[in-house]
Amino acid sequence: MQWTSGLTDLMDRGEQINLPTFMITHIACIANTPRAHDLSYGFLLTQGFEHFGVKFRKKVDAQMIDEVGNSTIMGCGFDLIRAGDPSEEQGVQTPPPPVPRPSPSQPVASVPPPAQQHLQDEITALQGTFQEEKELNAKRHEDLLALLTVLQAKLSPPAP
Amino acid sequence: MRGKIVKVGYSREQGLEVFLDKLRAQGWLELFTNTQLGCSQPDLAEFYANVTVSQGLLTSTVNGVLIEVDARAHGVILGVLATGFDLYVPEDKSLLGKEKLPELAQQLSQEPGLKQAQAVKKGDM
Repeated sequence: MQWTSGLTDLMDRGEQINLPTFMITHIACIANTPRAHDLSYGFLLTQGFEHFGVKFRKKVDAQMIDEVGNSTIMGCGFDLIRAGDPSEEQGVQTPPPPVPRPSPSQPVASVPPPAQQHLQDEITALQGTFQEEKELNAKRHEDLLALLTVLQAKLSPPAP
Repeated sequence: MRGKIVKVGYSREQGLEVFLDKLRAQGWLELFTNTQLGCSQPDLAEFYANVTVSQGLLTSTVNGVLIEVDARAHGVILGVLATGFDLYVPEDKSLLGKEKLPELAQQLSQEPGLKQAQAVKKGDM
């Protein structure tokens, strides 16, 4: 979202951000948007529910997919660098400028081993990303079904 | 970070110590790295179905329990400060409508003849 870049700047400058106010305002926006939206802040809100003594219907502990991983880093616009590469100082770097590709009519040069390894790494990372997206979609589907169930219960007429 | 839990070990492996330091400076490190958290989707859905926010006071009901918090109380529950920058500016999605995209793409690419917008990674811009 647009304002998140502003928040990153504030964090860079070491200025305090009022997270609880941001959350409440964001939740108000989510509740009032006509568009479909994720049920955000699941973990943090569930922590709040616990505080209020809510008896959970189906609480699930955090899974591997809920942790920051390669796909999250790549989704934020960073590239992953292989560990142990002496030419790189950090593991995560911003993407390099795009490399011009040869036209289909040009002969294709054989790929040298390091580049081939890099491509293989990218394929592996993309496969991981695809799998995580697939699981995320399944989770979103479950969220929507849960929301529909609640709405249906609210809208159904009371028993005579 | 996209609704995910930050793993300290993984972040260090990836050279993201600075990010951890920034979370620590905000007083959020413990909250965002807590892997013991859980989520109850049906209760979360009910929360969003019932939630209202008026003058900074959030009200909802979940499984028959009334939930009413303002920022200060919410900060206490989460264990974070409720002070500092709080000007939330929602994104105006209408600017990214289909009719606006070609114009935006022309301006950003500085190619007035561009007919069709296409996605570009932020890092490539």
